[in-house]
Amino acid sequence: MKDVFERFYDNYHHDLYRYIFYMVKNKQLTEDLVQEVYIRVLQSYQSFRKESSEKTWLFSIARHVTIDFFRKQNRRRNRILDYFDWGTKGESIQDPLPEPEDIVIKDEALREVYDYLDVCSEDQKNVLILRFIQSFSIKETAEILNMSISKVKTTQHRGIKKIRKLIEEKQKGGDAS
Amino acid sequence: MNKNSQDQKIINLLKQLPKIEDDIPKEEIYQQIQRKITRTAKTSQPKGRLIPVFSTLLVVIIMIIVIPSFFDSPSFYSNMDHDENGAELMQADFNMEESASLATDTPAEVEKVENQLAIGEDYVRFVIDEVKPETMLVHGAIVEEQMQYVIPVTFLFDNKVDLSERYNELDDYLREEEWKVEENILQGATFDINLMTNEVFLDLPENFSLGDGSARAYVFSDVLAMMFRPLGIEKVIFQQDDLDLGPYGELDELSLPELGPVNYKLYNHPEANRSFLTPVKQPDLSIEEALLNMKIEDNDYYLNHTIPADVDFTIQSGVQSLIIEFSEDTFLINNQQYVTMIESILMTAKSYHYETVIFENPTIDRIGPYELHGPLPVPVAINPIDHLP
Repeated sequence: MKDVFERFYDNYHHDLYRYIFYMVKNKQLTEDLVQEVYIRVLQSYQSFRKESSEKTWLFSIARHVTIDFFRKQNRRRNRILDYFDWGTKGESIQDPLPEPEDIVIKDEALREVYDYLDVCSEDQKNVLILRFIQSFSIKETAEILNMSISKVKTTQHRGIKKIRKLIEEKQKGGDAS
Repeated sequence: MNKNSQDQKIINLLKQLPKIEDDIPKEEIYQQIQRKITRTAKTSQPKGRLIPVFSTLLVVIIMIIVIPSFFDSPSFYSNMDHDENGAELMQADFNMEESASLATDTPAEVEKVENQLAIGEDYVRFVIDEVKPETMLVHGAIVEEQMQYVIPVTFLFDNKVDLSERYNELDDYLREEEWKVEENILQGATFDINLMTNEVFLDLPENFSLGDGSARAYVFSDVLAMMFRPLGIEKVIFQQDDLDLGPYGELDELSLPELGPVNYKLYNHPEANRSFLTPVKQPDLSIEEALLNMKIEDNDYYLNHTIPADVDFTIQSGVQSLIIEFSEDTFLINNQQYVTMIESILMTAKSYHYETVIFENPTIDRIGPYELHGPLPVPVAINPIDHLP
């Protein structure tokens, strides 16, 4: 078991850590989820059919682990809202993720792009992180996300377009004031 | 700065985001993982022993509650409306189901349901049962995000305006962003429908392209088929000369594929504001296999099952009627989930050319708007869209 872990760690750990960090933007949580990914890898490595590369297999597991996390988090939040029946007030309750002080970005333009990643849809965020932060190819991204290549291209285009529009809107707001 | 250079700037910024590093040593991570694996193994063991005990207790409790009710009210299920005990039990069942669904429904899903409710209705309807003489149906089609499934939608208009004109307005009524589906593949196209010759003339925009892949090409013909086959149209004639349609090559006209047997699941994208009954093409399945397939979810494509896993049935096939006999231990509930089940069964039966569906041995008389004692005609159309502003 240890040799499998070591091989995955040596080859992909930093990429894996970075991917999950940009998905959840919290270091402690990233550490937990990375461990969860390794656990799933070790538990299912025997059944890995090697139809895809180890790297894309690992990242598709990572993707599912983060999706599971977000779904559980949503369910937990909704149960709390249902319990207290706060109605519309509940809408102002934010996700329990702390503000990401784990990362300091002083450059304003970089900060904007970092923040606006969260406004993108889950697929768009995945594609933008894998393509441009992780420098994965379109084909690798498509395999990890179980998308067609054209779907990756469209999602990438839409994600960038969404960020561009938000930047433009902010600039317009700034100009107006 | 033009859009392309702005987009490139955003890409460059994404590439410049800090390269976050993990500062926990490799050995420590491995030990933590080992601890978690061991802990999981230990905690999962006693559960296995307790489950049979709990199950047995649960069965005993259920029997204590249920058996006297059966003796008190033997005709409980067939006389639900008139039997007081039965009514109470029915209410209890319903509440249990409702509580269960409330526990799992997210506010987004609740909002999704509310978005689809017409005023004065208690259930989301995924089908249209009848068309009044002064109205006409206009059939559209949308494509889910991964371009594997085409979803038919239906608009009801008054029939004072020309049918082609209505089709040409369709793009204004599609809300792809809210529904989390692909952008309209036929954006900017215009249609001229000839019901005498069963043809439609299609004028595609200048920059129209199907790209190199096959997915978009299949979707293209399926979208056209779903839009025009219900009108009896068999052929699309392109207005442009030598139109290059990617994998199809250069075409002047396209024969529309027939709408073959399908089974229906529920496209329920978590970020969408509504859901849609979605045909799953498996033409080789028998009607029974198709119905069984509707119990299976396909989470990769956000396709929910439409028949609950614990609903068991056998089928008999008549000339025009499909007879579905529920098993003795299948208890139906009058709620949204079962309304959707009935509608998806009716639509699936329609795709196999049945005209009515008869449900036998139902434990209740009515599910939503459907009276279960008697043949139910298959619907006229699917996924009605409220297009009014």
